[in-house]
Amino acid sequence: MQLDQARLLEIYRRMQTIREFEERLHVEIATGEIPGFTHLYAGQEAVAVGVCAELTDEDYIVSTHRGHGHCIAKGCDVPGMMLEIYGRRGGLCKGKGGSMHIADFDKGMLGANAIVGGGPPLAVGAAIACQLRRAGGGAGRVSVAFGGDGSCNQGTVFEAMNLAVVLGVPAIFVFENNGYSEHTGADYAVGSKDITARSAAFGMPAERVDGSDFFAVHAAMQRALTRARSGGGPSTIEAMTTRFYGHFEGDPQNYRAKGEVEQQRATMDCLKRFRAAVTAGGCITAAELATIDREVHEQIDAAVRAARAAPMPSEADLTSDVYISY
Amino acid sequence: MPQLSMRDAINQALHQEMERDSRVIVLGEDVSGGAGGTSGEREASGGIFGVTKGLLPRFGAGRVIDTPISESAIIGAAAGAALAGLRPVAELMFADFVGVCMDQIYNQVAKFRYMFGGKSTCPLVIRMAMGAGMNMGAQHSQAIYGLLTAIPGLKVVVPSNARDAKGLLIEAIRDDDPVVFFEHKALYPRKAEVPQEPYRVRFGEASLVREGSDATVVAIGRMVVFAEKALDALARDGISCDLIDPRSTSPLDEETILESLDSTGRLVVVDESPPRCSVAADIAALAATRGFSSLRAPVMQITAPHTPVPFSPALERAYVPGPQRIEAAVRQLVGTTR
Amino acid sequence: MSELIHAVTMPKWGIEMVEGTIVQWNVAVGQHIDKGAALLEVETEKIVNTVDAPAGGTLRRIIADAGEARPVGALLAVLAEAAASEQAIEAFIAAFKGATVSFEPEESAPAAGIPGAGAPVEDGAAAGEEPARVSPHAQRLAERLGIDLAQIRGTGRNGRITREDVEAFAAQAQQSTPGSENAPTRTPLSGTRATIARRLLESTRTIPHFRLSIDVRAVALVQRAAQVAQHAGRRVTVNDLLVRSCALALVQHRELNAWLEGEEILTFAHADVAVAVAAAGGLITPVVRAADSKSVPQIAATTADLFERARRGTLTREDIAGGTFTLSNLGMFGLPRFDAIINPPQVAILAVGAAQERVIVHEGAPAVAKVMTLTLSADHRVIDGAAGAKFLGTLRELIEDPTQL
Repeated sequence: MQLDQARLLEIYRRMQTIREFEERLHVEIATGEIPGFTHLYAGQEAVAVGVCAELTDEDYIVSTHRGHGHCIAKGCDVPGMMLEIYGRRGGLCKGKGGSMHIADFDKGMLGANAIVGGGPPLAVGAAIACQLRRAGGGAGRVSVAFGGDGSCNQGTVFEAMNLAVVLGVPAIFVFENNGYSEHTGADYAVGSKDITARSAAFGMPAERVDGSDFFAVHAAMQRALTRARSGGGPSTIEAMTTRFYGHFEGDPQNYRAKGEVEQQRATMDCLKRFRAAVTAGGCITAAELATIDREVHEQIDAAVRAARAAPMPSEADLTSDVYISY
Repeated sequence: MPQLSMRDAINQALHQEMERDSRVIVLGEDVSGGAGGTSGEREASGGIFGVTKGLLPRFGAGRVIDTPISESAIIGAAAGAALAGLRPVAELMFADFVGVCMDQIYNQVAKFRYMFGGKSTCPLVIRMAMGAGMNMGAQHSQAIYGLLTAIPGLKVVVPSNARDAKGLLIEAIRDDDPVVFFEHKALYPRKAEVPQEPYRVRFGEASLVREGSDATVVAIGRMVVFAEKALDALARDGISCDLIDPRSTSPLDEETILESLDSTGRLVVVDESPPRCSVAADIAALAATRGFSSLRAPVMQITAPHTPVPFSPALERAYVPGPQRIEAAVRQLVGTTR
Repeated sequence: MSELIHAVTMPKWGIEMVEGTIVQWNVAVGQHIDKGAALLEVETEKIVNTVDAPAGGTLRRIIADAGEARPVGALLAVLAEAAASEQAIEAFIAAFKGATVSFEPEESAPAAGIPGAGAPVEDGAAAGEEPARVSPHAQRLAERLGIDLAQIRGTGRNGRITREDVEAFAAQAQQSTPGSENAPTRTPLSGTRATIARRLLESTRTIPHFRLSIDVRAVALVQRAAQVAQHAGRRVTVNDLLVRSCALALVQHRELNAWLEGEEILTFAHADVAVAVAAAGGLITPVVRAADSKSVPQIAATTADLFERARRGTLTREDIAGGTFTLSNLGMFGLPRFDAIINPPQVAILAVGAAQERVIVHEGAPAVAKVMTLTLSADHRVIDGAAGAKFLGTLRELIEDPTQL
């Protein structure tokens, strides 16, 4: 699929928004003003945006503890996310969810999930709903389960993948292999060292892509989407990527070799690669991208200032939303 | 009025609700059975207790979904489908299997609405067969409704008879919150008068099964049947009790229990679960905290012992609280404090 | 101004960090540092890590030196552009307010002017056309009283009608009935009354009371009161002599001069006799300490003071705490006899009726004598009938021959 200049700029803006959001959180978290613990997505932007680029608000995603990128890529309100991460009134989840539990049902974002492997069964359920609607004459909607290399070792994920194949539902499993399950290497924890082959063994098409290359992710997702939307059943994409920060903020990352992150920032930065690719083609200038960078910076800065100034949730919020009626 | 078994009453409720609302789907292992078998019989079981019989031929495999033995995927998929707008009824087969998919129940389903700031709706029913007394051993016999009653965000229903079971299941399917529905295996064949038309039995509204003045007996699920037997025996000696069936343990009808206690002054709670942190303990605590001035005697809890469910029928008979224990407890309570 | 001046604060690393210690500064005051360069090292309970400069600039102030511990969010140093004046930096430091990290639960509400917490809030309203929700007992009561449930507004869960709602409705309906001349006056229980209610309820519920009565001849006692009064030159009542009698009997029968606390019996060497007094707010029991070692005039002086202060409501906590036995005398009301409820943790109480002339049998013939009935209520968990009877026997001897008092 050819992406025109406007689409490319929009895609760049999404990726840069995620990067700026996460880089800024890295600074703000250190001030102690953001409660709890936070897992940053910087470095993996091409995966979230590449997967979500062709999804509509009627398509579903389920996300992970490292979910800010998925939320932004799926169109969640950025100031609302910032309020949520600061635990303030007006946050996307009223300050009750926090960084790891952001959801936006109007955008088909069924929630970030802080239980590793908790999301894929839910995504299969949403895919059942898509399948039933398609059978009733609706459009061919899909459901995407994001997960990391860590989640691929969870039994729930095996169950979900098998069930998706058994039922032939339009589910797409995206494994973002950033090399580490928390503080343990994927090369250690994935016994076969091959998530793609393992996924294929469940009986679905599975492919490995360079997760730092937006266009590679986008193309693989296009193939999976075409299958899913036309009743061809589930697929898996394993995107090889990296995270520029620790498992959570404050992780001293003693498991990573000295200089690893610096080297990856130099060679695996999906934004640098995207910039190089689109400016080399001549259809977009560096100045146009710099304008976006400035606008995104201002947007995130405004979101942080608004979040810091926002009131805390009220005590009444403590007991609401447990049930619809009780 | 037709006499229906609890099995058939639940089956009728499922048929009627699936007929009424195309968003209702049923999924679980062997809910129809037969898929991939060599006989070609596509509805080979209709649920291992026959509760979902007839659904597949009527509603098709799109809405009556046989799953692999993957409890996490069953509950997770049902939950995801509920978030995406369907009204799934997931069957877990034996309640004991909650252990395999607890994360999906208590970290996912129960917390969605709160975590997501009230934006999600997860109208899910999880059906499961529970209870001891049928020599099924420690992993197929537990009454674990107390475990789930403790979890905010879930509603927990434990019917004691066919008539309530139908109305409670219809209510559960129409309810917008996640509901866990416990069916006692020993109650499946028990018959009661069940109206043909759909009706609802609301949660948090206990049924006053018997009226009396000497003590309040609160019993759950199959224990209601045993309590009725005990009360029959006591009635011959002129002892009469209020018998309360809470029907749902979350929400719990505290008002009815306290009002009854206020007039009798004595409370016996009968619960098939082990005693620690149980629904029996919860109701005893209710009496101690909000009904203290009504109490004329200590609360008696009739429960299973703090053990797993044994296999040997001789042991299992001793495990399950029965009519004699209930009768003796009431006699002791009434005798020592009259 | 804030673009020129940047705070360096104690970072929050990881999940549990609330405080860190500065290991060393890599840059001296006055030196320039680029954004992102290693500015200082901080040690936590788990790790030593570097803090990078949050902005480029000159290190103008170090607030916390190496070796010092600071909480997360505290100001450690100030970076600034050359253009920032010393005055501006001082003002920046003075105005600085960092984040605070605490894992302690808060007692107070998180924000002002907010409605209190309650049960889980219902945010999807239930349909209004459904029949009234009503508890079974409320329904039963309404049927008995002939009340239409549709008229009652339920206060239970989800607006359900409770038995209390039906009772309140019935009471109101009765009050507002024209021609009803016997409407009750409603008075909430006072604090004292509520305490009495609670304690007496607890006593009757938990203590297996038994009662023993004995008739004693009271002529001598009445005469003795007058004698002592004359001798001491002050008012002395029969009640004062009864306090003294009880005290002497109690030190002889110490099992009654006792408390029951849990599984333990506490017996006392001296008799602190509590005396029941009807005060304005309700029954109160001030204590005559060590009545066994006080003379009757001393007791009389003590009771006069206590009773006066009871009337005025100025008794202190010490005046009423710690009695080992209670005496309740309703003789002044002319009651021949009554029994009393034990005041826990005490194990016995004596109820004294009026000294009245009664026909008695004296040496085989009817005679008239001034007689008083004493009724002992005792806690059967601690005291047996025989012990109670012996105590009453001693008491009778003392009362009938009060010269020993």
